Amino acid sequence: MTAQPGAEAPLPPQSTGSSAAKLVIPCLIGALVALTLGVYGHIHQPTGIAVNLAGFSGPQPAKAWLATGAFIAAIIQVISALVMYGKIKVQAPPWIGGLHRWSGRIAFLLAVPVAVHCLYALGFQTFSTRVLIHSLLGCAFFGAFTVKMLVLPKKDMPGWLLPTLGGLAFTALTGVWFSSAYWFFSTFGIKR
Amino acid sequence: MRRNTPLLTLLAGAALGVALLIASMVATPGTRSQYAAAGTATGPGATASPSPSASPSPAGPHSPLQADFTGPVTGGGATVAVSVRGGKAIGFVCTASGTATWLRGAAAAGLLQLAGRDHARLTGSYLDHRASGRARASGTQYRFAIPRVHQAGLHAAIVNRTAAACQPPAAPVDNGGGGGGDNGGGHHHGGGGD
Repeated sequence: MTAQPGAEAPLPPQSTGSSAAKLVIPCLIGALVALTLGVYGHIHQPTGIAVNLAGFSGPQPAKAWLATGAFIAAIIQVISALVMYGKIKVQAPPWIGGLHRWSGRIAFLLAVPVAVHCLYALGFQTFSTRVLIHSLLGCAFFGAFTVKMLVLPKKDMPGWLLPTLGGLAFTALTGVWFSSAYWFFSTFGIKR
Repeated sequence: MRRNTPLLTLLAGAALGVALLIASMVATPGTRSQYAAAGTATGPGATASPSPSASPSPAGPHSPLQADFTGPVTGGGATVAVSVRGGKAIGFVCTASGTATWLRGAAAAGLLQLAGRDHARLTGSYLDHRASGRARASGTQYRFAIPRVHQAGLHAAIVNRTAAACQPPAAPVDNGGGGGGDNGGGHHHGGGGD
């Protein structure tokens, strides 16, 4: 799914061939990341346990809180991006770029331990709609995030590209959070 | 942008992930050796190391990967059974009238989350010897704290939704009437292999 922007790249009139070609490798790598995570989660026999974080009653609440932290950071991502692109009519403070970069790094680094526990202890599962959606979106998030990180430093890319990739990553993370942490808190209560 | 900081972010995340993965492998030696033994059984040159004592479930304080639990709900009125296999769980709630509600879902990190038809659900936690939590079936809420059992065929009976697996709870002992249902003898359905 992350490979699709390559097919739509000829649409913007000013950015032809070259920028589309620059997109191919990041999209392939992103797709490979998503696929690798899913295949590993599928073929690796789930252990049921993995390393845990101190201060929580169990790995599930720890993951739910880490994911919630990542989700909050991702919301900051969207808001700061909207300010940077002038979509929110406020005077952009000078630190808005730093806020955007660091909230993104924090969101990503909070999501990584959650994903490791998911893939190692639980695996890619399909036994219910919620779990299937969660498994698919979890893999898609890291694929979309990888594409965005690889595209970021490139020059002369069409203007819609970064918002699209960021939107994809945010959408995936939102779905991941609602299908796991939100489900957890609403099922077991808000606990540590 | 001289330094490619987005790439650094990616690499930092990948390094963190690999480190946590290795730490998880180190932290779960019991399960790892179990699966490693299963994996290397077909591999060449792996015959040098004997399989580690072939215990079906890893010992330890954590939740077992494979376990069956069954018993009456708190206060009576229904029987609950939960069978855990890997990350999955299946089970039933069997009411006093003999109506079975079948459930399936997840067993992960000591937590159970099962669902069935007509908004039936079962949530709870489990450890080596005990599972406890709440269930809702046929519009009735139950609480349960049930022991682990080693009952051959229970898992297969739930998989196959064998009607005989639904054993209504025994009538209370103070029921002096002749209708005291002694349900303990109906084990004809046992013996099904997994």
